[in-house]
Amino acid sequence: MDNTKLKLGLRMGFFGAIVALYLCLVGLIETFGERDIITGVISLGHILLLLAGLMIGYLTMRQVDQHINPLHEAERKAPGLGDTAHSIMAGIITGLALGLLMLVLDRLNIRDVLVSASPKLLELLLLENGITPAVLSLLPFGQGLAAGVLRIVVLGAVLGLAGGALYLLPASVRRPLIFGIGMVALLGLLSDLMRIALDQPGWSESFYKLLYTGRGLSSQGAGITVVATAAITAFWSYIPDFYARVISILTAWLPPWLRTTLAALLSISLLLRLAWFLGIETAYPPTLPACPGVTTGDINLAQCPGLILEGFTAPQGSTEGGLTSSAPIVSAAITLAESLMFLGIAASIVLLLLRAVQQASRAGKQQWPAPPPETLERAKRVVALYLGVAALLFVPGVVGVYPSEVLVMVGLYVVMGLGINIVVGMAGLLDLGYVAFFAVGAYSTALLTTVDASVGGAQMSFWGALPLVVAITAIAGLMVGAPVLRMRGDYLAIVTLGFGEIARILALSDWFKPWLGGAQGIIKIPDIHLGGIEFVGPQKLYYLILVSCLIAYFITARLKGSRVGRAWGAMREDEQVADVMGVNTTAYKLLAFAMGALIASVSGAIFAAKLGTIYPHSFKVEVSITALGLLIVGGIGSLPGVVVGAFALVGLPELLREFSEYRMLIYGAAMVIMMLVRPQGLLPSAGRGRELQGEELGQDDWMRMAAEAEAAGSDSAA
Amino acid sequence: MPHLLESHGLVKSFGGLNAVDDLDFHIEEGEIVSLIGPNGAGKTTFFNLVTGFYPADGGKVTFGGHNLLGLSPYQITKLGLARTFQTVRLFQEMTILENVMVGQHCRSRSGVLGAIFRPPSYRVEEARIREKAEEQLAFFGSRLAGYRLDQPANSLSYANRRRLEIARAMGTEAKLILMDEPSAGMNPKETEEIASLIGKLRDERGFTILFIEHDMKVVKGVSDRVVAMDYGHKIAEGSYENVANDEHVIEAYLGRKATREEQDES
Repeated sequence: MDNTKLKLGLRMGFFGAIVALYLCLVGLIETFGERDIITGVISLGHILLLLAGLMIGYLTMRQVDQHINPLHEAERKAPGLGDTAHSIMAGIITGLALGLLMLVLDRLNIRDVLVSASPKLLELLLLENGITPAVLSLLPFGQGLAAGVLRIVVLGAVLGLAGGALYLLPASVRRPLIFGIGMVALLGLLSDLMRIALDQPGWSESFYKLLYTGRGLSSQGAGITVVATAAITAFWSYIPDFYARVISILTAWLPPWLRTTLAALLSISLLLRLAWFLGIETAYPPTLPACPGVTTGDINLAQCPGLILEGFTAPQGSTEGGLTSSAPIVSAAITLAESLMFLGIAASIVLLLLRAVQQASRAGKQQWPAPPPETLERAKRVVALYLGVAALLFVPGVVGVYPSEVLVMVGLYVVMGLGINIVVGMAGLLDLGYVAFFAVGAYSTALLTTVDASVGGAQMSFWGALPLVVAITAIAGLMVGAPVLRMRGDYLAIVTLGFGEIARILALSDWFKPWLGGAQGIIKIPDIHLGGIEFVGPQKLYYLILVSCLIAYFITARLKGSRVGRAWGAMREDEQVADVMGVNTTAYKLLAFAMGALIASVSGAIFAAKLGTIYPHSFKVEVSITALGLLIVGGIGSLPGVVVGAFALVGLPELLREFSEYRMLIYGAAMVIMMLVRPQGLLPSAGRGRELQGEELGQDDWMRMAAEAEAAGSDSAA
Repeated sequence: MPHLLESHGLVKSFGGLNAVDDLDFHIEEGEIVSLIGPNGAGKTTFFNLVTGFYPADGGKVTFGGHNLLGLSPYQITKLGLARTFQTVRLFQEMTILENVMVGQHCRSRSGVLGAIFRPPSYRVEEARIREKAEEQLAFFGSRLAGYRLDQPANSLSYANRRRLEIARAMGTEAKLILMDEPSAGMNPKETEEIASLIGKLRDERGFTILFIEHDMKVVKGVSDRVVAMDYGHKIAEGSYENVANDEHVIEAYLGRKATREEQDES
């Protein structure tokens, strides 16, 4: 047997043993063990253990593969099934370590030292509860400790083998499998969210009951999830084609006036629905506009707009409406617009069917006439835009209050992330005190709008105060920027970190107490009004945040591709050279700080109005770290990355509050893994990833790629 | 008529060492001048003084009548002076086109509001910046042009990085380009190309060029005039033949021929 491979297997085994023991002793397995993923079958704790085993098997196999193929050689020697022996060995070692832990847990009381080494943990490791008898019968060792130890060792071997085999599978099989399993874990984890979102009378309830039972997925739900996810993953690459095809048919065969009318009607009804939801609703139950023409069976299609928009109209926000008097008019308008829309859709379907029949009878050569490419591209974009806008507008109504609250938090961080992306990602100035600008935004909003007489603020409205807040914070940005102009990199980071803390401590200090309220902060910050709309509650604030996100995104995207963005980019890459190429680096540094601060201030302002009370405790350094962390997770400099990063770093932890004890641990581990596996972020901006990976594209590679692209181009043209 | 670039009694010292010492220098419009000298002669320091990287300790530098000392690098660039670096310093993560577009920064003016709202004036300017940048890149033939424009600069080969650096300097619409060892690290064929390129830059684009060079073939091939430096001083000036045969220059490069007496002593 190959000695090196043996060593690899042993090393990975010990690595796995350490990870598994750590997970157990830190209490993760126990805490997660209380949460069912598939009710009665498997808990999150078990999934974690299983995943650890699988990962060890997989990684061992990868190491073996890299050992067999040391360099990127043209002819790869694929590792064979025989090589899974090493994976199995690694799995067994991991299993043995856990077995040993079980013996220790049984004989000795080590809880004085390790609090989590509890009988509960032993029970979990025995695998007697939780996993169904059917699964247990695969590992028939009966009851008791000895059987349990043996079982976990065998399980380790099986998982090692499975992990190794997973590596050997072709990617087209492996990906759907992994995604399927991952989706089960995710849906199981998010069962609470899904209950809030789906457990409402109507179609969604039956859907929920199909998938879930108790706190986890049902067995059939898990099966459906795996199959559906695997199928979608497997056919993922065909989806754009399919989409293009559908749009092509629609644009080719629907007359332009019909398309325009439909789009207009859809826009109108969306807007009306939005207006209704934002506070012009009357009482519950709202009178759902009837949908004429379509009346069938049990799944009541007559209520189709109402059903789809069900969440929209549900009274989850505030029930007291603003403009009660106008409600019937709006309601009637919605009915009218949607009736017309559904008539239009029905007409289109009839038209399409007629065309199809016509085409079939003609038995022509060309089945579907292709519209001109520009029209098609435009149509694709427009439809995608409509789908996106509709989805964004529906979200808070559909998911309910608590998830909306999470979305609001995510949105606040998206805005902040976009702002810090200007400073760090675009201009390359590592700012660790970004929270200061968020705080200045929040405090100035509070001071300008509070109705608390003891503060003696200006008592302005939110909208009146906003321009002032933005200006004040931008000036604060300049004030922070000016003294640190000569600093770079690490030094800049340390100084800005200091500034961030100074801001908080000043707000906390007795010195400023008469104005800023010290530790108690400022209270009685009024809600935001706009016209008749009162932005109270997360479901309505969501729209405000959404608009701020869109504006911030628009601004940063526009800046990125402009002369200013290029100057920042040059400064980020090489400050001295940027200067020599004619960029006034002093001015552009200040500009970056001011722009970053300006965007953060909007986030801060909404934050202040949302809470109604602000105090220094909300502006700790963690906010800066999270804002920076979401950049790193998403990919520094990448705008979609900011959104993804915010969901990962702010959204997920909010949804998984029950594990908040381990939040920082998981956070840290995720960051380390991220840096090791994908340092360029989840959605890297162009150019950056390559450099971080150290793969500089050689000239030859480049020429070859260009030639291939050309060949592919001429192929498709032919 | 004043010289395009002129220095009188220029001094720069690092600690006790005078890297540039009482240097008088001038270059006429349309001239190609090479600056030679052994390592540590103060050539790059001279470039750094002229482009505003370092503050001078004394003397005077004028460019087209403007005093350069005390100005920031970006202001000097705006006056019409651009440079390349001894070690290639590109904006690695930016695309090839963007690298050159940055050069146009000092010839354009739109700011944040323009970028966000994109009024017609912004779009016209942006189109102009792009057009000019493409024009500079086209100068290098197919090497930097075409569908290569949107590739990041770090995807280029070494020689093409050097070319891109020149294109970026051209992009500032400078009158005078300072090149710091343009042929460093290139193979003989590429070196030859650089030499002809320097000639073309003047003949076709009208740039005045001052370059530091160690490769005497290049120096001989394109220079109208050669200036030799050692220990911060100008030690010789004139045509290539004159300078190459100058005894100070030979001494600076090869050392002084030992005299009979010294040999006897040893």
